[in-house]
Amino acid sequence: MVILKLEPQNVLAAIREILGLPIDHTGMLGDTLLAALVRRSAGIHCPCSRTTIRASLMECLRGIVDDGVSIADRIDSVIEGLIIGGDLLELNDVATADATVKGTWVFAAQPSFIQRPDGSVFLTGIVPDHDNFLPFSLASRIKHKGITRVIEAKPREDLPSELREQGLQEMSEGVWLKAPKERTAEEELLGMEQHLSSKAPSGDINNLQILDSARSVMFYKGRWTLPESHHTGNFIGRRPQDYGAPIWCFVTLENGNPVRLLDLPMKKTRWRACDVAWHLQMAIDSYRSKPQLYRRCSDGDEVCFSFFSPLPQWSERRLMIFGRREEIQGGLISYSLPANCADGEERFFQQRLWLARTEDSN
Amino acid sequence: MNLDDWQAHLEKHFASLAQERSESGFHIFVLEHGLGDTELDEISSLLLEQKYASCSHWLIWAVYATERGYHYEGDEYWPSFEERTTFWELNDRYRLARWFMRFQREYYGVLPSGQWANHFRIIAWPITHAILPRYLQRQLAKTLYELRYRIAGLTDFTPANIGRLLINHAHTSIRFEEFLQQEELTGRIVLALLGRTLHGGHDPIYPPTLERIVSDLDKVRNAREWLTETRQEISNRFTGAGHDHSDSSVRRTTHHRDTEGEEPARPSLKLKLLLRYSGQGTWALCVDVPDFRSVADNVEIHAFLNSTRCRINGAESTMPTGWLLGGKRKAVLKAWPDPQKPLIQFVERSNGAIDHLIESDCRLGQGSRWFFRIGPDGIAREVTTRTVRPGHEYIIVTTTGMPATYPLMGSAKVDCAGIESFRLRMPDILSTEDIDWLRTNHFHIARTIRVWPSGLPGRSWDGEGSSEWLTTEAPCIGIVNDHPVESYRIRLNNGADTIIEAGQSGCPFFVSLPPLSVGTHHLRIQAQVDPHHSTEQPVTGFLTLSVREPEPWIPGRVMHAGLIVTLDPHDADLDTFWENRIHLSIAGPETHRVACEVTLVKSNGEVIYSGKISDPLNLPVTPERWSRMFAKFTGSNDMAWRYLEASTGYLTIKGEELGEYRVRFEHEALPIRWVVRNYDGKIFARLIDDTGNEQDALSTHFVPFLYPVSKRRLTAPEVQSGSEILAPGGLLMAQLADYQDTVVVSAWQSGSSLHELGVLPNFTEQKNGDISLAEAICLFDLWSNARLAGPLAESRRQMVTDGFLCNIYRKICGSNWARAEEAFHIDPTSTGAIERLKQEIDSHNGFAALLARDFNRIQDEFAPASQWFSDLAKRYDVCPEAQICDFSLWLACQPQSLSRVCEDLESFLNEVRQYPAILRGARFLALMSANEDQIQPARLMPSCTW
Repeated sequence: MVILKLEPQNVLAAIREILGLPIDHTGMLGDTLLAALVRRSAGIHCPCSRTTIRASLMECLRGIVDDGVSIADRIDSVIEGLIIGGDLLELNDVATADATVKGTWVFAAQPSFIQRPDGSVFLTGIVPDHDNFLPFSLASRIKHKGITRVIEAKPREDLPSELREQGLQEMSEGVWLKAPKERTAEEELLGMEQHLSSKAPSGDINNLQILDSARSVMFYKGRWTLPESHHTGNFIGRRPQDYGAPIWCFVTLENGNPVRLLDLPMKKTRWRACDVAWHLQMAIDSYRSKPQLYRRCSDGDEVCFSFFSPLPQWSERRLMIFGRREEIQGGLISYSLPANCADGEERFFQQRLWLARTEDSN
Repeated sequence: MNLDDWQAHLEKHFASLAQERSESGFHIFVLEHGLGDTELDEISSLLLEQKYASCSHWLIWAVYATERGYHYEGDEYWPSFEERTTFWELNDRYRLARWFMRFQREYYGVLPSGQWANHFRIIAWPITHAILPRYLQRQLAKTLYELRYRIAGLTDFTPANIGRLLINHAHTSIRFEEFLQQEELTGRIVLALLGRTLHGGHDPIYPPTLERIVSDLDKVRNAREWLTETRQEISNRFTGAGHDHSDSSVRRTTHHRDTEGEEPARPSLKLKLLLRYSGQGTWALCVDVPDFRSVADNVEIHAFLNSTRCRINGAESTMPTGWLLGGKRKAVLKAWPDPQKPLIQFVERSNGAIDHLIESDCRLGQGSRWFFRIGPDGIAREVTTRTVRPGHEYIIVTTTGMPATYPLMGSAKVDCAGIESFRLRMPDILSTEDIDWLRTNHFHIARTIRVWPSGLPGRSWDGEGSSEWLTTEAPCIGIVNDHPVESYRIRLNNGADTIIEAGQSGCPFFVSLPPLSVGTHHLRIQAQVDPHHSTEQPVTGFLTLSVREPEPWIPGRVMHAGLIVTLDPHDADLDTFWENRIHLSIAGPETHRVACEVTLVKSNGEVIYSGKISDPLNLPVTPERWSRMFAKFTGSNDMAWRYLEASTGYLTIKGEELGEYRVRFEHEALPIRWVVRNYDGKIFARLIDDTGNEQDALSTHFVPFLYPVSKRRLTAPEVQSGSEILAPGGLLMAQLADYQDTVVVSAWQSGSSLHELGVLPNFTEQKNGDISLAEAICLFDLWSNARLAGPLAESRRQMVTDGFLCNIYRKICGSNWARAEEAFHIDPTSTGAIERLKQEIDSHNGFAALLARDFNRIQDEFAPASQWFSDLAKRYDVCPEAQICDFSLWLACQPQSLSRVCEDLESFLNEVRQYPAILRGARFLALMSANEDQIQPARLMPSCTW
C-alpha cells in the first residue's frame, strides 16, 4: 500500500487526471479545471445553494491555491458561467426537502447537447459519480474551451444521433435560446413600475445597495452605491441575507429613503432575479437616453463584442452558442462571433437589450 | 453432403465437444455447432426440401430451431418459424422439444432453467440454446457497460457471481430479465465476452461461436465500444486474472487496491443530520438519506424498496414508493427522532435484510448532545466525533437541558420539537476560563492537527473526520498542524506505518492514497514531535473513508430534483398504462411546462406510433389531471388497435432544461395468450400456447357483450388458426392448467351510428337465478380483470360489470335498496336520494347517521376501516360477525379483488344474506365516498386502494 506525499502542483495534476482533463504544463488552476470541480461539487451537493458549491471548493483547494479572495470570486464567476451554459439550473420558487418551503436552488442539469450552426455540439449537464458521462471515443474528442465543452463533428458524421444514442437529450435552439417577449424599453420599464407602485409602503431596508443610473454605464461595479439623499426615483437594488445570495429588488426611493419595494423575480417568472434586474436596468438606461454600450471590433472573419455590464442569461447563451468567450478585452464580458452572424446578433442586442455601440467600435 | 452426412457430422462434433467440456463442468449449447453461414444455408435448404421433420435428422432440426432462436426478435417464435417452415405442424413442436432433451442428455447439453423456462417450456429450448439472441445483444452490452464498476469490483469472478450481479442490477426489459434468470449461463457468456478464461484455461464458449457472437455485437451500434470500455475497467483492476489455473474459478491474483485490514465490504447507509438556515435566526433540521441502490443488490430488495413507502423518524409525511432508490434524498424533521427507533421505517411491509441494515446503520448517534458545525453556506453539518475546534461556530442540540449561560454561548432556534439548542462560538484562541468551561461541560476540544479531503470536493464531508469516496478515485488528503512537527506517521486501516517528513508548521501538505475497495477505511495520522524539544504527547488525527462503487448513469431514469415524476405502480406493464390504471404525477417549478409523448414499438424495433399526448402542460401535473388527459388520448379509435400490436411503449416527459424522464412499459407475454389484430376493419383473435403442456385440456370460451353470462365454447381449430370477432364483441377466455388469459374485445361495424356504439347487456339469467351469486361474482371478476382490446372496450366493459354488480346487490340488499341506489345514481347531489339510502339501510337510524358522518374512514388502510365498521355494526346490532363485516366492505367497495382475498365465496355470500343491512351499510359508505366530489355522472365504486 503506497501513501505518497504530494506537492500542491502534483495535487492539481492528479485531480486533472481523475477528471479526465488534458495535461496542463503551467500547473495553474485554470477555468477548465475549476469548472470541472464545480461540476463535480454540484453532482455531490445539488440541489443546494451557490454558496454550498463555493464552500466545498474553497475547502478542497485550501493550501493548493493561495489567494482566498480572488479564488472565491473566480469560483463565483465559474458557477455563473455554468448556469449560463446550462450545466447548472438556478430555479426560483421550488421546494427541495420541505414541500412547504420554496426557494431558489441550484440543480445539476441532465446531460444534454445543443447543435451549433457549424455542426459542432455544445455539451451541458452533470452526472453524479461520473466526471465523464460519455464513452472514451466521444469523451476524448471533447474540447474544453474555458468553462465550455464542445465536440466538433467529423465529416459526414451524424454527431447528434450518436449523442442521443448515448442517452443525451437534444435541446433545440428554440428551447435553448428561449427569451422573454420582445418589448420596448419603455414598455418594460412602465410595466415594472406599475407593479412597484401597487406595493404597500416598505419602511426601512437594512443594508440596501442600489445601481445608480446616473453613474457611467461603462463601469458596472462602480454603479453600485448606498442610497443617499440625492437618490429619488426607481432603482434596481439588492440587499444581503445571511448565508445566501443577495436579494434583488426594484425599489422606489425618496431622498435616499425606501418607499416601496418589489422583490425580484416576481411570482410565475422563469427568469432569474439577477437576469430580470439586469434587463430592467438596461431598460432604465435606455429610457434615460443613456443606453448601456457594447464595443464591436472586427478582425477578419470574426467580430469581437465586449460588454460593460452583465448580460441576462438568455442573451449570453446566444453568444455562447454562436461564438466563443474571449479573455476580457476592456469590458466585463467579451465574445467572438463569426462575421456572418455578427450583424444579426448585433440587432438582437439593440432590439432586445436596448444597447448601443460605443463610438470606438469598428 | 446430404442430411444423413450432416447429422453424422454434427453428432461427431458435439460428442467431441462434450468430452472436452465435461472436464470444465460447463454444459454445451446447440449454437456451438461450429457451422458457418454457407453450411447453415445448405442444411436449411435440405431440411425444407424434405418437407417433413424426420427423427433421423433430429440434431439438424435442433440446430435449425436454434438458429431461428438466435435471429428471434422477441415477439412470437412460432409464427416466424412456421412461415419459413411451411410444412411444420402443431405437434412437431413437442417432437422438437424432445430432440432438445435428447441433445441435453447425450451431449452434456444445457438445460433451460428459471421461471421463464418453466412457463415457456418449448421455446425455452431453442432460445436458450441460441446463447445470446441477437435482439438481446445490445441490451447485454449496455448493461455490462453500466455495471462495469460493479463487475470489476467483484471479489470472486465466477460465472455464478457475475450472473447474480446482472440479474440483481439490470432493469431493462422483461425479456432481458428473463434471459438473465439463467444466472450461471449468463455469467459464462459474460466471461467469454470479456475475454476471460477459466477452469484450467478452458474457454467458456466454443471459440468460433464466441467469435460469431462478438462479430455480431460489433455490428450493433455502440456495443463494441461498451464492451471495450467494460473490458478496460476490469483489466484496470485485475492483473493476471484468467491465468490462474489452480482454482475452479477466476480469482484476483494481484490487485492494486488496498484491502489490508479493512472492514467488511459493504457500502455505508449512515444518515447524516444537518441544520439548514431558514432565516430570522432559525434553523431547520434535515436528514441526508443515502441512495439505497448501493444495497439493493438483489431483485427481491429492489422490488421491496420500489413497492413500499417509508417514514423518516421525525418527519411528518410518508415518502412514496421507490423514494430510497431515487438518488440521495433530503427530508425535513419536525420532531427530534425517537432514539429507540431506526431513522427509517417501512409502512406496508418489512424485509429482513433491509431491516437488519437499517437497524445497524440508520440510527441516531447515542447520547444526549449533538454537534453541528456551521459552514459558510448556512448549513451546519453534524460532527460525529463531537469535538469542537477553535475558530469555528457550532450549534449544539440537546435533549437534557442547556448549560448555564456563558459568553461563548448564543441563541440558535432549531425548528424541531423535543430539543433545546444553542450556538457555540469558539474564539481563535481559547482562554483558560474558556477551556475550563468547555471541559466542565464535557466538550472535547480538537487538538491542533487538521485533515481534510483535498483537490476533489469531499463527498459527505462533515468538516471534521468523515468522508465518502468512490472506488475509481485515489483519495488525496490535506494535513496541517500549527505546532512544530518532526514527521507524520500515517497508517491506513491495520497496515504498516508510512513516515512522512513534516514541513514548516502551519504549512499544509498533501498525501495521496491508492484507490480503495468498497467498505469503510480508517486513516490514522500521528504527528511526531522532537522529544528533545517538546514533552507533549504525539497528536493524532483520524479520517474515516467510506468507499463505494460509482452509481451507473441510466439515461432518462435518474432525475435531478428539478423534475420529480412519481409513478404508481412503478413496474406497470403496457396494459396497465394504456388502460389508464397508473397514478402519475409530475412536480417541478410552476414556471415550467412539460411535453408528454408516447411511442409504441413492435418487438422488431419498428415504431408503430410516436406522438404527443396533449399540448404542453403547466407544472405540476396531478394524477387526476393526467388521468383525464390520457383517457382523451387513448379514446381515439385508431390508437386502440395500434397499441395491441406494440410489444413496448415509452412515455417520455420532456421538461426542456429540467430534463427528460422516460419510462418503459412492456407487454408481458403470458405462456397462453390471445393475440387480437385488426385487419382492414375486421377483428381477428388467435390463441398462442407456449406452455408445452400436453397433459391438460385447453378450455376456451367466448362471452358476448350482449349476453355477459352466456359462455360459448370455442374449438381448438377456431382458436389456433384465429377467427373473426363480430361486432360488438365480448370476452375471450382461455385456460390451461394454471395458466389463464382473458381479454375484452370491442368491435364495431363501420358506419355504425352513435347509439350503436354502446351495448345493452342482457342479465336475464342472473336475474332468474340461473347462476348462483358466487358464479356471478366469478364472471364479474373475469370481466373486470381482463385485458382490453379495441375502441370503447373500457366503457362497454363498464356497462357489463355495472350490470353484474347491480344485480348482485339487488339479490342481497333487496329491491327497495336497488331502487334507492338507482335514484342516487340519477342525482348524487340530491339530499333526498341520500336520505332515502340512509332510511333503507336499517331500522337503526343511529347506524346510518354515523356512517353518513364518517364515511371517509374507508379511505384509510383496510385494517382500521374494517375495525371501525365492524365495531359500529356490533354496537347497533346490525351484524355481530367481524368477518362478515369485512367481507361486506370488500363486496361493496372492491368486488373486483374479492376472489383474491376470499377463498370461500359461497359460504360468505350465504352468511351475508342473513345480514343484508351490513351490505347495505357498506354500499352506502362506498357510494358516499365515491361521489364525495359530487361530479356527475355518479360513480359506483370508491377509489380506495386496500
